[in-house]
Amino acid sequence: MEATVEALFDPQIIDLDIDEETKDGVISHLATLLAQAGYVTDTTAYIQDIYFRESEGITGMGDNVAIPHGKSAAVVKPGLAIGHTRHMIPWESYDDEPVNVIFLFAVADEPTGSQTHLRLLADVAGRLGNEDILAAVKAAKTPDELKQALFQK
Amino acid sequence: MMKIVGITACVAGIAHTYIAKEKIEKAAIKLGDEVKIETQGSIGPENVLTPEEIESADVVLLATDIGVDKSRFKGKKVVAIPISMVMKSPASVIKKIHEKIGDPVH
Repeated sequence: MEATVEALFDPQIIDLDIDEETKDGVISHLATLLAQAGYVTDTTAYIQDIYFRESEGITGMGDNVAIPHGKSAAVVKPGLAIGHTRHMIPWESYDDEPVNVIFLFAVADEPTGSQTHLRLLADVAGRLGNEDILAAVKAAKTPDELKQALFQK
Repeated sequence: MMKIVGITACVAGIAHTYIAKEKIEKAAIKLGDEVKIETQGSIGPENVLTPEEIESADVVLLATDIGVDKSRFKGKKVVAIPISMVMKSPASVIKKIHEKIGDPVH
């Protein structure tokens, strides 16, 4: 189990210097990274599923962090795209503040044989509930620093 | 000090369920409480509460946005809240529960 935590970490779907100013722009940017890296087959369909989840409830966790996600048939491999933005992005959040750290979860519609990955995504989500880990994640400047912050024991 | 058991469950069962578990645990432990939270997410129930744990608990905290089976908690003091309350301010949720149970935090 522990060895596979690494499997979730993929620098191809991390961008710590995103130059977007809107929620649409950030979601589109991260969804495109997921598609380019082979996690998502149809960017448009995936984005629609993200917005369906957005319609069901707030994904801005507070503390300038958002966790948009969606189950989508367009996802062929579960993954976690991570972005830091240069600008504060307006986002519906629990503390009514904008966000600059975004974790975009990609989860397949029918999770066959991907239980391990879902477990890992759940594990990462749990870590985001820990203030100390979250602070380290927000301070990370490189994918390596981010990896250490997120997967620290 | 209280013994809290509970369940977290969100709409998608991907992220909030697990974040809320962590937040409840952190806030409860900070106040010296004993706590165990069962997650009912997309990967199925985890950290499942045993009948003994439910029996010995002072209070049951249901932080859920979807329906969960409450039959296990018959006769227990149950506090049911939307998961957003935990996401917003876990510490005040736990404090409120203390007040409700008659074990106020000073």
